[in-house]
Amino acid sequence: MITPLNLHRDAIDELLKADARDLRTRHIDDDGFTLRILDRLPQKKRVSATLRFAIPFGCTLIACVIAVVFTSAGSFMFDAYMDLVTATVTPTLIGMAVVMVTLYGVSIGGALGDD
Amino acid sequence: MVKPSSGFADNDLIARVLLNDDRNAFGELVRRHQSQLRASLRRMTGGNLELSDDVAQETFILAWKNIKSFRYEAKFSTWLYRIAFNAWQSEVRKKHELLMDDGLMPEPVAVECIAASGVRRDLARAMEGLTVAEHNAITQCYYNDLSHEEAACVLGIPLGTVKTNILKAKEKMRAKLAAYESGHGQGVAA
Repeated sequence: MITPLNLHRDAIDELLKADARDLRTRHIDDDGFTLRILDRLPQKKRVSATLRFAIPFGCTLIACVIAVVFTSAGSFMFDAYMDLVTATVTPTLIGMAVVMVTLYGVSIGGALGDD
Repeated sequence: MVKPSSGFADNDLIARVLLNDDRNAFGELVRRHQSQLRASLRRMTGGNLELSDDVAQETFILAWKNIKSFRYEAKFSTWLYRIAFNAWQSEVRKKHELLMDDGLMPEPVAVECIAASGVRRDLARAMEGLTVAEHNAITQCYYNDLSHEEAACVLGIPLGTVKTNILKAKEKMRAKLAAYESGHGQGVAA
């Protein structure tokens, strides 16, 4: 109990610390608590390896088609394709190759990466 | 850092959860921290065992869902206390809204006083006059054994506010206990 003698300036501090120490030593038994939680844990959503490859690859392909059909980049890609067919190394072909390799590299890297 | 009873430190277990979704590792984390967390929530809920265990379960499930956001800057237990405090606050808000919908006024958070005697009873009664913010600050700093900085992080308030709340709380408690000391001998709030 609190007595006049021990209620000095830091008495509250000491009383709180002692009470907290006392309470911390009282262990609450698990009593199935952990198992109940493990039963309720939701499954983490995992994207399959095929989807992880297909999604970025498909997006890249669609982006390329859109670029060819709807933008002036189409002529750039067509020129590059013609250079490739005629086996003529031009800056356009090299530029195209760099863009494609980068896009596929990013897609495949993203697909194979952990997250 | 909690001393590893299974040979793994908390951070190792967290890494296993992050890398492999290892439920056994998470189970070990729950086993290690459930006692302190439930005790803390029992204090916050005024000794309501059912409610405190519900909030504790919610806390661990939220921890599982959001473990990717754990940054290793704080102790795992501090991070858990923060989730628990937010879950409890959310529970209080829900109750408050329900009571307001029914036209009733919410009751203030009660201080645990179960089978308390002696010093504990006096302290509990001295804490009855504290505001919720002061009560929370005392709970985090003393009963959860957090530093002022950690308590500020858990409570989501500035460090200065935590210190102020602790000082004000201790002043109020000292005044109450001094009233008791001055001689009625009937207990602080009896």
